[in-house]
Amino acid sequence: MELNIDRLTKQYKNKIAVDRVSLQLHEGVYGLLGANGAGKTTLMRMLCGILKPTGGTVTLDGMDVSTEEYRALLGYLPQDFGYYPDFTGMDFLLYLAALKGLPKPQAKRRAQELLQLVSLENQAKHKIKTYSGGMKQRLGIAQALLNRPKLLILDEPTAGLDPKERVRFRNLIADLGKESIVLLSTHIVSDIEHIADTVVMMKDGQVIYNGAWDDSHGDLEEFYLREFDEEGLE
Amino acid sequence: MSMDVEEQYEKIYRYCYFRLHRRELAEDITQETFLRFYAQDHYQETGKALRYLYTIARNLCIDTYKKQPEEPLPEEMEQPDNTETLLTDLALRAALQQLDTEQQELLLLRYVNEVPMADIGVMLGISRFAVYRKTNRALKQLRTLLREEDFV
Amino acid sequence: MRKKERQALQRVFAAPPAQRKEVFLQRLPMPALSYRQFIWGQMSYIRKWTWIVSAVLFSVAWCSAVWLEQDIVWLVSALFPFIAVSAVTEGAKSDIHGMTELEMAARFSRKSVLLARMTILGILHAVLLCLLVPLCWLHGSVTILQTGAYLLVPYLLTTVLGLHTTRTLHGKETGYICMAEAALVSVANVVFRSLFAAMYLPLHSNRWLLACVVLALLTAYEYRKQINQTEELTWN
Repeated sequence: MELNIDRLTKQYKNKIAVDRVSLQLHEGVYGLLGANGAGKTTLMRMLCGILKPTGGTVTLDGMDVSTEEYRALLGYLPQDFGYYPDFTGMDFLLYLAALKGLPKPQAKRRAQELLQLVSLENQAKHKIKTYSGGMKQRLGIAQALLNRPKLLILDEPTAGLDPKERVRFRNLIADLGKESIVLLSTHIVSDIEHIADTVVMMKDGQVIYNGAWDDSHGDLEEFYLREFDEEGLE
Repeated sequence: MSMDVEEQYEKIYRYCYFRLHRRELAEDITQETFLRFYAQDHYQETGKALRYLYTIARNLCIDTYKKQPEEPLPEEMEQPDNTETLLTDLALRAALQQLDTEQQELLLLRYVNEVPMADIGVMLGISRFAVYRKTNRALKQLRTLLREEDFV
Repeated sequence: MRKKERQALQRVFAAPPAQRKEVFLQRLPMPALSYRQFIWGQMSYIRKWTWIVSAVLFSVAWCSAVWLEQDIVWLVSALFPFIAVSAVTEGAKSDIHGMTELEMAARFSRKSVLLARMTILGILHAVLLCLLVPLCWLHGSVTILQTGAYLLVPYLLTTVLGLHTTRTLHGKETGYICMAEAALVSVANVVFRSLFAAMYLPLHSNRWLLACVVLALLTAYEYRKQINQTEELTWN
């Protein structure tokens, strides 16, 4: 599988949010690091077909991002998301499963499987408004996996998770990275250190570093602070 | 379209393993069955989907079997967790092997995979009534064999 | 076939676990749901409130017209705008509740979802209109065409205003604003009638029909713009 991002650009009237970014991603976990406003979310939205680029292309094994076939292989967790009032966790998953084209019996089973995976099976019948932040985030991760995506895009997935949940999440991602392309963005440097095989750093809409990160490169956090010291760590 | 693909995968795989007695091959054929099924759009509605799926599987098994005859020893079954049923299961297995392949196939399709009789009929090229009759006869014979062994 | 027997058979026929199922299922090119199944599925996601309000309006109209033998054109035309709100806010629901991004990344584009739901609601409203117009006309003093126009104009006006609102505003209050617009049209309707009773004479019926046509065109325009907007996140 190859996700080919070719000179992807998003230009607004007075600002270039993403500036001719080119990347080739394969199976594995990629950590996207950058300060707020660096263009991470904009880039991710373009990779999901939610935002139309002003230049460049995105293709997954030849399928363009605007096609239904591309989206059929995509799983996305946005930074912020809501839910229809009175939805229970299960309702939420079934609703999105329908949108992802899963037939009903399969949707039900897949939803149950995933609720177990993220340890929400006991809260499945409860309304989402009763969920804690961490629970809601776990639900968000579950919905991203409904259609067994080959391309998983997670925007700040560990926000709101307590340390134990964070560890479980890392293991889950490591597993998924074996068969799928996982791109996750985060401010938490230790997440990247532990799970990402490759680190992609963005600044002002451009990719300033793209490669594996091991001890020989020094301390990631220090590097990060050095590079982004004007904006500072969030 | 409410065919549960995951469930049917397991069932078709079980059927193919019964026919071919080889794990990898059974899985290959299962996957080929699904690929062929989804390559055409004629039989997608639930009504006829299952019989078409099984027909593809059956034909593929027959073709494959012709090319690669059965290995002398089937694979080791995994150790069952429940020792209570161990003896009765062994007896059942022995009894089953005394039935013809067609009878074993019917029992698998009807009672394990729970395929509707009409679909089994189409698959085997016989009438629904014949399916009913033959299945009952197979079951009766099986029970007789088991009673003889004193394990029911 | 006794349960124990069946279970025993299942054990005996069991195959060693399939190794490559997950990967295969991941890559399987499964067909999309048919459009009809998709629309049917979406029907269950239209709020119950919509069906209830329509049913209530219809019953009220029926009782008044058939049993009380009242002239109900005015009542119905004052209430019909609220029916319009349900269709209008369908498009806004995702934004109001923060589900937009999730829906947009799904296989079935948000465009299809919205089209599906609007189609269902459109049909519902058309049916409602067809049922209400004769009822109103029954004891009214005007022609069928006029009756239709008196019901359609406030409805279309509310729809146009609502669609424009949901397209330009994206906050949580959008729903309430649309409701307020409906109320405004409703009240304006009543006020207009008392102040300009002359406008309702047959003499001016052409003007009403013209108004209908103009509003219908505007509705189509707004509607199309909203559908186009679903294809991309145009706001942040």
